[in-house]
Amino acid sequence: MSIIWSALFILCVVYSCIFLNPSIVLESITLSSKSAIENIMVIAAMLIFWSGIFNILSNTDLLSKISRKLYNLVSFLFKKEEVSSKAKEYISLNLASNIMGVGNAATINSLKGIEELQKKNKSNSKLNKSMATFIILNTSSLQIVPTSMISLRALYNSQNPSCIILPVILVSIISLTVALISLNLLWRFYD
Amino acid sequence: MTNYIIPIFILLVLIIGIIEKKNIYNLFIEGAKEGLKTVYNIFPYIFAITIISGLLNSTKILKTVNVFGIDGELLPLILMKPLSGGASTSIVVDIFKNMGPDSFYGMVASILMASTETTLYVISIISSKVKIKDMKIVIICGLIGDLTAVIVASIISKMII
Repeated sequence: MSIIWSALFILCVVYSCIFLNPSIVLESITLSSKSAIENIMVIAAMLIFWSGIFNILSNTDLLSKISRKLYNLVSFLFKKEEVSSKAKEYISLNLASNIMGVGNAATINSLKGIEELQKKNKSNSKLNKSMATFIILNTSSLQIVPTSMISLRALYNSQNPSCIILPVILVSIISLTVALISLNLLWRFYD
Repeated sequence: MTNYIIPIFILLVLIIGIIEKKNIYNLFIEGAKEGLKTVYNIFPYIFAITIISGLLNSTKILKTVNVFGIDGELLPLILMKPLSGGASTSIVVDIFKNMGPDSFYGMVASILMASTETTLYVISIISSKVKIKDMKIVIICGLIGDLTAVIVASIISKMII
């Protein structure tokens, strides 16, 4: 990250000095600083509200109720001998929180889940297939109602802020499927 | 129709909270506090990234780039989303400010933000937890998924607008 950031910074400064007007640099930095402050206000506005709402949600029993039924739906993705019953519990809690959009609970359960999976992993340096599948599920967005994006669209006067819901579900399903298929195709090169 | 989803979602959370006899107000305040902390923590990152994306915009370097028919306008978002949620949200705010949320770029950005995760960030956290360094396979497959999302989101946005 440090390398990318500095390289881009240097590139832009050198580029504007050679090809454009050197005064652009400071002008742009001042303008962006102002816009960073504006943007954080906007982000704070929705982040604080939704993290309040999601804190209520994560303290109810809803997540564990959903999660009980959830594992059976995805069990075909995992190998039975690699998943302990405890791991199953964390995996389904993680999926339930991801689907409802409760970020904190999702992170906690993903870490607990991966630790449980590691206990049945024979190797210390490589992932097994169930671990890889679980990670891919976590790098894809499963959230059904994209609350913060809809709020952000509403804030900027979108005609129809929630029109993205169906496209988002479609794109999520397609990209997750492609990621899982490529995992299965590429697995023999890794294992 | 979809306009009802957010109010119904909020209502559902409140009703479930009341049925389970939780102290909703305190839980909300607690969550809001956490949210405020998050804002405080992500701000320096957003600041650093906004400066770079501002420079890239004013020098118009990215305007010359066009990969797979993906415009330079969206490139900062596509590169940033796998790394940082806060910074990519800030880029989306800029897109909304300049082009509006219902423009083509606004639509692609909205769909992308909501349908992908911070892939590399998630993998790095999990990697440090289980102390397995060899994460090539999930990095590649995760990014293949993200790239698919970019392409499908662009196609769908073109169809909607």
